Amino acid sequence: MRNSSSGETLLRLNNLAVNLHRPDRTVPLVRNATLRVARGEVVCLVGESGSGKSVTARTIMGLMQLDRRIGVTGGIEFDGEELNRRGDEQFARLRGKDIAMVFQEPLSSLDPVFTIELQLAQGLRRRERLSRQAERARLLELLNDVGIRDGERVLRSYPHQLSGGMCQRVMIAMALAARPRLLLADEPTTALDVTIQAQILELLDGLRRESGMSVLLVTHDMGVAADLADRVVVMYAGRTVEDAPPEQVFRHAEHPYTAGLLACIPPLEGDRPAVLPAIPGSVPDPSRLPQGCAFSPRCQRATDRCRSEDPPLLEIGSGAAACWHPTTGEEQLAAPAGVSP
Amino acid sequence: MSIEAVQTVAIATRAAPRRRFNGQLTVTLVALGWVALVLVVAVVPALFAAGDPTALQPQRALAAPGETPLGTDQFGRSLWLLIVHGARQSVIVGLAATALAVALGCVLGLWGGYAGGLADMIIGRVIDTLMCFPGVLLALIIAAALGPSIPNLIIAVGVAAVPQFSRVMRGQVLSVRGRLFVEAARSLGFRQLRIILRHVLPNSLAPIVVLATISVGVAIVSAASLSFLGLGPRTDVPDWGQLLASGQPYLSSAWWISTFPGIAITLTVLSISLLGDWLRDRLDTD
Repeated sequence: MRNSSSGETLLRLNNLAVNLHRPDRTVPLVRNATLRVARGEVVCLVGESGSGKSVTARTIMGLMQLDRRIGVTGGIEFDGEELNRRGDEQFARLRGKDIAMVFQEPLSSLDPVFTIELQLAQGLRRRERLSRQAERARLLELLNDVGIRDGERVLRSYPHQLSGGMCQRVMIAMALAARPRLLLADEPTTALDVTIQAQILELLDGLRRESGMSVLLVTHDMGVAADLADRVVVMYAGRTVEDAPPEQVFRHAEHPYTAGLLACIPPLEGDRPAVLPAIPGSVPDPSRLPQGCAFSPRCQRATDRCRSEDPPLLEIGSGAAACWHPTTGEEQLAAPAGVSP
Repeated sequence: MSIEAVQTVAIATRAAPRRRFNGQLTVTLVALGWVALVLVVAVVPALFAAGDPTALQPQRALAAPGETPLGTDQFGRSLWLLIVHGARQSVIVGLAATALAVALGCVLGLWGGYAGGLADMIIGRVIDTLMCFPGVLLALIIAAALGPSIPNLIIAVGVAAVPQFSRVMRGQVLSVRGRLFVEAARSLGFRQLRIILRHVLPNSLAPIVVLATISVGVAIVSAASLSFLGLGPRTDVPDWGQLLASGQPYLSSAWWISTFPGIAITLTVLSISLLGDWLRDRLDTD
C-alpha cells in the first residue's frame, strides 16, 4: 500500500544549502536540497556518490552543524518547527528522540568496548527510566522487534562477536528505542550482502507500517527505491533535480539525469545491450561546479540556456523537476511547464 | 634492555617449535613476581627486615656483606634494612608521579584532540616546549625550583612525563573521534561530555595503559636520579637513589653500598618494563 503524498507534512527541506568554509574558498556540499516527508511515508533519496545525499541526512540530524567550518542556510522544518534557527541544545533534544539515524557501516557504528546491552540501554534511558528487570525485558522486546530471536546472547555480546546484519539490526533497535517519528537511514544496507539487505529493508518497511513513523532512506540503489518508496527524490551535485512518486520516476523520468540513471540498469527481460549505456563524464567536484545547470556538461538535451542559468524546481505532473528541458516538455515541444503556485 | 630480553626470548621460542617451555610467559611471570614482591615490601617492610634502618653503629661502618646480609654503609647502617625500608618511597613516587602524568596528559590530550582549533594549538605548543627538554633535565629544573620534598619530587617527575601521555592521547582521540560510533552516539542525542567520557576516552586508553606501566619504571629511575643529585626529599630513611649516591665516594673501597640499591632499581624497572611489553602485546588488537 502506498500512501498518497497528501498526508500531513513531518519534514520539509526548503532550499537547504550546506557549505564547507575553507581558508581559501567555500565549497558547496549541498546547494539546494528541497524535499518533503509526510507522516508514515517512505521517501528515498537517490543519487550517485558525492551528490550530497548523506550530507543532507546528516544535516537534518544536526550532525554537520557540529563542525565549525560548516555553514547551513535554508529551512529544515520538522513537525511545523523551524530547526535551522535553533541552537545545538534544541537539536540535541530532538536527536535520538524524535529523529533517529541508522548509518551505513553497522560494524563501526557500535562502540567496540561495550556490550550491546549497555549501548542499547543508553538509548532507551533517554526516553524512559525503568527498573532493571523491566529494562531488560524491554531490551529483549526491542531486539525481538528487529527480528533477533536469541536476544539474551546478543545482549551479552560485544559488537565484534556479531555479524554485520546482526549489528545493523541492533542499530535499528537502538534507533527505535526512543520511538522516533522520523528515521533517517543512510544507506543502511550498503555494507551487507544481498540476502541480508533484503531482510533489513523488509524489516524497515514492516516497522514503519506498525509504528507509523516516517523514513527517509538514502540509497544509490534504484531497485530499493522502487520497492519501498512512496516518493523518490533524486539529487545531483548537491541539489534536488527530481521529486516524484516512483511510478512516475520509473516510467516517465522528467530529468535527463534520472532517465540516464535508469538507463544504466540492465534489463531483466529481452535482449541485453552489448554495452550498457552510461552517463558520459562524472559528477563535478563541488568546488568546481559548472555554470548554469550542474548536469549540463553531461546532458544531451543541454542548450545555451542550460549552460548559463540553473533551472528552478518546477512542478510537472505529480512530481517536480529542475530542468529547462523536462521529458514532458520535450515531447510536447510546448512552452515550459507552469511555475508552481 | 627489555627489548633485548624479549628478542632473546623470541629467538628461543623460534628454536623450540614444540613450545614445552614458554619463554616469554616465564620471563613475564618472574617479572610479575618481582614487582609484586617490591609492592609487598613497600607496604609492610617490617615483615622482611625487622629492626630500625636508621640505627647507627659507627663501630661497624663499611662492613662487607657477611654478618650483616648486604653489608653496612659509612654510618654502620644495615644496607638490607635501608633497601627494604627505602622501597616504599621509590614505589610511592613512581606510582604517584605516573598517576599525575596520566591524569594531566589525558586531560590535555583529550581536550586538545577533541576540541581542535585554538585550544589544540596552545596545548600543542606548550607540550612541544616541554618536550624540548630531556625528561630528567625538566624534572631537575622543576625539583630545583620547588625545593626538596616528596610531593615536589612527585610533581617534578610527573610533569616531566606529561608530554608523552598528552601526545599519545591526542593521537588516539583524533582517530577515535572520527569513528562512526562516535557519530552514532551523537545521533542518539548524547551530550559532548558524555560522548567524550563514555566513548572517546575508553577507546583511547589501551596505549595509555601500556605507556603508564613503562612510565612507572622510568619515574622510579627519574626519582632516583633526582635523589642522587640531592634534589630528593630529606627523609630519615633514604630512598634508593639517595643510597646509590651515598655510596659513590666509597665505590673503590665499599662497592656494596651503591651496588645493592642499584640492583634493586634495575630489577624493579626491568620487571615493570617487561610487564609493559607483555601488556602491549596483549592489548595490541588493531
